[in-house]
Amino acid sequence: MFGEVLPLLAEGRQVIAVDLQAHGRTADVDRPLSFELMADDISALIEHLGLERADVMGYSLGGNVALRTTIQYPGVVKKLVLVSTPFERNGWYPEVLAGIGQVGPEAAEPMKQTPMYQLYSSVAPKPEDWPVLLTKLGDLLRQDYDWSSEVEAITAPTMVVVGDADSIRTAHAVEFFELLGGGKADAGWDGSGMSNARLAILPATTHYDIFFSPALASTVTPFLDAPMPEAG
Amino acid sequence: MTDAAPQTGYAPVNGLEMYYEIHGTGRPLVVLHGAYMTIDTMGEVVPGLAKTRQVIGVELQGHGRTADADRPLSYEQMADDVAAMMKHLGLEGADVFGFSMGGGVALQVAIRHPDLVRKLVVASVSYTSDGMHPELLAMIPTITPEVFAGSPIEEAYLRIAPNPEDFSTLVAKLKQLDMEPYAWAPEDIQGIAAPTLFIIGDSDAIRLEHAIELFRLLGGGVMGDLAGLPKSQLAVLPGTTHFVPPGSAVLDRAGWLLAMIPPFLDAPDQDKE
Repeated sequence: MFGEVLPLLAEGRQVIAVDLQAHGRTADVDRPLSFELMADDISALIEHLGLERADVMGYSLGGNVALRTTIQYPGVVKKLVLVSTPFERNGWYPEVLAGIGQVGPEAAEPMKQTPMYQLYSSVAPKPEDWPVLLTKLGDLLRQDYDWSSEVEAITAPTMVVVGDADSIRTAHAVEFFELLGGGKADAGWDGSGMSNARLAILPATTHYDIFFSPALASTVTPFLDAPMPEAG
Repeated sequence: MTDAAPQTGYAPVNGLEMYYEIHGTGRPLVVLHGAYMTIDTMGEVVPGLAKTRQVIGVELQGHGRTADADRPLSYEQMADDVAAMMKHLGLEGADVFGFSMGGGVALQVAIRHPDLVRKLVVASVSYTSDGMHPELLAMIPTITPEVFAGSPIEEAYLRIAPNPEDFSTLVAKLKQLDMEPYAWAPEDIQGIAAPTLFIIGDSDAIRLEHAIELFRLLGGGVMGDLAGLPKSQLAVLPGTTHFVPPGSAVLDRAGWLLAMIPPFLDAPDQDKE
């Protein structure tokens, strides 16, 4: 799904794209979907690949996993990029939460008409698990969470990216940036007032569009390329 | 700034001889600089924009090549000056791009002269004085002409101002403008019909909460996948400041700005076209 952005990101770095538990080519296992467990998976994958430490970028649910990976394994994540990711459940617009509440096995048949299912069924090792994925996703997405105190403790340079018409409330993105240490004051004459957190809001961009937007790559790449103190 | 020499002139408006430069050809875009600035100090973004449109750079009262007049600096008066200049040059229906104080002037042009403005791009702007970070507001009274000694701002003024000895007057008038509390009516912002692109740095002089509120008044802050894209847009540039240090300011981000401003201006305006 990261079709257009991934090659742009890969122009100057090695990109390791991952299918999370029960998604894409990664078969499900007998456990619920949870952000914490998927973060364990990502940390283990980074170790398995011999990377020791890596920059981690996640979009939406994948952003939640990237964020949990940083919280649970701070030594593993160098820089963190969170695209359209809320740090607490009510970061979503209320109408989005209402829609999320409907995710479940009863949506399995109607959703077979969507590009999401077509992609899933074309690569999934067991396409018949589609209703199971929706059941587990619904259970995950209905759970309340608020990671604000853990976000405040993050030391990795972190960039928060949302669209100006995202499904994440714009004010929530600002709140996220401020929890990370940004936005509290003017940068000062010499820039010393700037923290190691970054906020990017992309114009005319929705939750759905953002991962197809070339502007996402041109926004994220300079942040990943920049030399930066890794704690602060 | 561009390969061809710009067409320059002075428009007689409201008792001013207002300096302007015209670069490029195409749909007109009036560009308004920030406080203490000139057209030249707007950086690479002006010549970049002039590649795809006609850019009319203007120097506001007491700035650059436009001599001061015996009146204070006010957003409303500067907006009336710009409006009169636009009429003088036959620019009714032009797009307007303003940075910082020039962004405030651009908002006031759209509020006071709505028929003149097609689309609006405002960068690093607040619509109430408390939109600025409080420590910056507190710093304004300490500004003196001497703090600009040897700076590019003073250098440009001394080089091009018709009355170089007026620099201290400019500083005094800008301090007065910046220290005078203001709060424009939310209804006036909401009433701006021109689609607006609002740009700010993540480490700008303007508080981000204020930026979100301004964006909401301009019609933004909605979930686009369900509601459709609103007529106004918001861009927050990461790792980006208001003006200093050099290289990190909003106007230094020409690559990002030139990737977002022309598409915004070139998109059909659904209400009017």
